[in-house]
Amino acid sequence: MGKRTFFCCEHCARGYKNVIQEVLRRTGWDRLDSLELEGNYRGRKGVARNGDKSYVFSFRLGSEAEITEFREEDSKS
Amino acid sequence: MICPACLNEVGDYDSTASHMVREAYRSDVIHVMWLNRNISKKRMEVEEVRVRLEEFFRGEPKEWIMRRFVERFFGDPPHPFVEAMQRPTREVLLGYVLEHQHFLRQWVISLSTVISRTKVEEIRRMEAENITEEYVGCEGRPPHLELLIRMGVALGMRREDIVNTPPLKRTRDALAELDRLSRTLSPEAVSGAMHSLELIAHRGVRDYGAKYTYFDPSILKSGYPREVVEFLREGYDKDVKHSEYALELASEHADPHELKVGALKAWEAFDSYLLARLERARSLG
Repeated sequence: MGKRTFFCCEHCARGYKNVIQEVLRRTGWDRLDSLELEGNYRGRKGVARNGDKSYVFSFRLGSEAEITEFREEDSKS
Repeated sequence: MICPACLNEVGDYDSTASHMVREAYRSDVIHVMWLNRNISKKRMEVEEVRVRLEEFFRGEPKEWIMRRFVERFFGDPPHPFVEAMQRPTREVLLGYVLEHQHFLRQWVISLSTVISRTKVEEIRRMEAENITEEYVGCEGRPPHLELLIRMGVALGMRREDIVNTPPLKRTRDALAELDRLSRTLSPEAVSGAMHSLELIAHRGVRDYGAKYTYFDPSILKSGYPREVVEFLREGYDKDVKHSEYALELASEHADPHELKVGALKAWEAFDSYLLARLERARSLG
């Protein structure tokens, strides 16, 4: 990952890494140019971008910041 | 006074605020998470945290618990499980069955710790009666656990498949937390915290500002299987009495701050556990 990012705690940092890995795995991309997240512990939505491609998804994290649910949503072109 | 995040004894609001800010500066997960979810995501200095903590915890315990519970679970938007229960699908109800059997077992274990530790006879008696209704049955009526399983069978699952389904990790973690609380807090605070969870089925929550109730009461007269109606009706009829009486006793006998802190902790676990029901439902879909 090429950008230094501050997190409030280890849980959020681990969760963020897990989400990046999951997006890369599902898309087959070699990198993310940006990742936007919104929501809260009950459910979050994200938009990941690679060049002009985007991938929209929703997810939840468990008590150890593991991904417990992950679903692709309709992507914008 | 105990810290609302780690439950360690810390002193007064001044020392609690200093302690929480110190732990937040260390990026300690449970303190950061507690502050983010209850006070503010913004970094604050000690004096501001002290003021905000005092404001947050101000109020007579029973009224405070009811108001805060309604905000959390029946606010706008409500908890996703409450939303799903307005018109529950077969999968949502089966998710409820498969996870709730484990919750009911932990319920009995947690209330048993109250019975064994409290010196308040009224609380002991109330918990013994509650366990009997939930787990054993009385006056010729089957226990809630049995009504739950029958609901699952009526929705098309075999009894042996229901009872042999282990809990999801999210459920296991939530129940482990409830178990921990029941062995850590005073028995009177445990009693109040556990029974505050029954507010989820309190049909008077709209009087406290709720935009929804646990389920649309028209379900009780609708085309859902009889066993679904019987299970939901038990909670609808009984949980008002259970929760209000238990909260009155807890308010009378528990330390007010410990009771509120315990309730908040129980709601964290419960919030996650309700998500587990939906996670299970999605796995069945």
